[in-house]
Amino acid sequence: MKRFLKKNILLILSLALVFALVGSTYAYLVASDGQIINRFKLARIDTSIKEQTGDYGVKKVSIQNDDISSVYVRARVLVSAGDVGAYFDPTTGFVDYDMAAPDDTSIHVWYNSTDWAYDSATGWFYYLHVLPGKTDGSTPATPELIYKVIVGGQVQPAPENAQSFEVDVYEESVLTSDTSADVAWGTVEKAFASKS
Amino acid sequence: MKKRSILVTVLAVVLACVISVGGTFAYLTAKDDQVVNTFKFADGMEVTLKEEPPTNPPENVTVKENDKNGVDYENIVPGQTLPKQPTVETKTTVDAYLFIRVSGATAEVHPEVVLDENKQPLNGKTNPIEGEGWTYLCDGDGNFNGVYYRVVNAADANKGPWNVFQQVKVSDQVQLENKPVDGSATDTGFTTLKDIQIDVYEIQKATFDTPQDAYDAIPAPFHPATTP
Repeated sequence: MKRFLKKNILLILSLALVFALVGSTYAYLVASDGQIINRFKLARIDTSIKEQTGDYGVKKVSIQNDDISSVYVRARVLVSAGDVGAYFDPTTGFVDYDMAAPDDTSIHVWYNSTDWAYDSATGWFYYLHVLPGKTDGSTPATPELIYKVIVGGQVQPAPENAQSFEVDVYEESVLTSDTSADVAWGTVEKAFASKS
Repeated sequence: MKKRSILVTVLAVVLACVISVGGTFAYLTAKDDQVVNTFKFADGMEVTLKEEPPTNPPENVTVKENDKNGVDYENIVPGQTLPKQPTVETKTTVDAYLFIRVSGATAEVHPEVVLDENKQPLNGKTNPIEGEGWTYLCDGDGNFNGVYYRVVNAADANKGPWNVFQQVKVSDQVQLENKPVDGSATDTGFTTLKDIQIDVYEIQKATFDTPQDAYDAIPAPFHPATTP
């Protein structure tokens, strides 16, 4: 060992000097702290139609919010008579859900007049509340827009015996920062108009 | 012979006395006060960078602490201004340069000037970070990224916390992600907002002639051009 030290003393001293010099380069009094990162995510809109059908004309349709942002919602319901032998009048065909089925041969759609306003001039139904964004624990949806489709004053028979006609629902949503419990349908209409 | 013995004896006694006296004097004159020099390093410095979620976010904007010591903002709409509270505080026993680096700001989302009670930019600065009392040093761009510093005097009672900036602006030109109404392919033209990062580094003021010299002594990653 002594022999090794004696033989390499110059090398060892040189290395020690180099380390001392390098070390002293950063030997200032310093302090730092962890980095802060702020993240920003824009609003996102994604809504979809949720449907539940059943016998005797049951057709429950609501709109579900699948993303984080609150929205206004509007929807259209299109009925094509097909070969059922009845007709649908969009002006008189949508009836309040607590009304008795009209006794005629036309097609009628029971809808939710409490939470939705129907604009017969344009054919749009406007949802009268803000549909809040999805959270970790819930995926909010509107109350049903329509409940049932009836023909000629009678609820439809079971689907296997039903004659053919179509009810198509189309929906749109637009971002809102509104937090009101209730919204005038004119406000919702204006929000959509500004985006189109 | 007898006389010689007496002489030797006398000489021996005198010599013994001289040695004793000399020894006594030597002991007295050798004593002196000790001089002790004590060197002690400064107690050090500590710097804290932190941010709490704002208590007054815009309606519908969700804010929460994230795992990066910062804050996540969600559900932002174009044109919004978002309050922020990143602050820096130090405990230093020596004069020091306190550096911050802001990075990641873009035209889509960047720090924004705060207006004072007279509707003028805070402290007359159009740069929101300079408005908070920081001095721009280098690596800047039009979105207020860059390295800024302030001098901290050990004797001063005020050692923060100091704001880095107080709000960020989201451009009204950003494009939201929309689901096409016809159910066609996913919308791809939307904007993804980048993260804004803040770093902090403090270094002694002594031995450096300028803030730039001090900054150049800081190792990577805070100073990207420096090899650690």
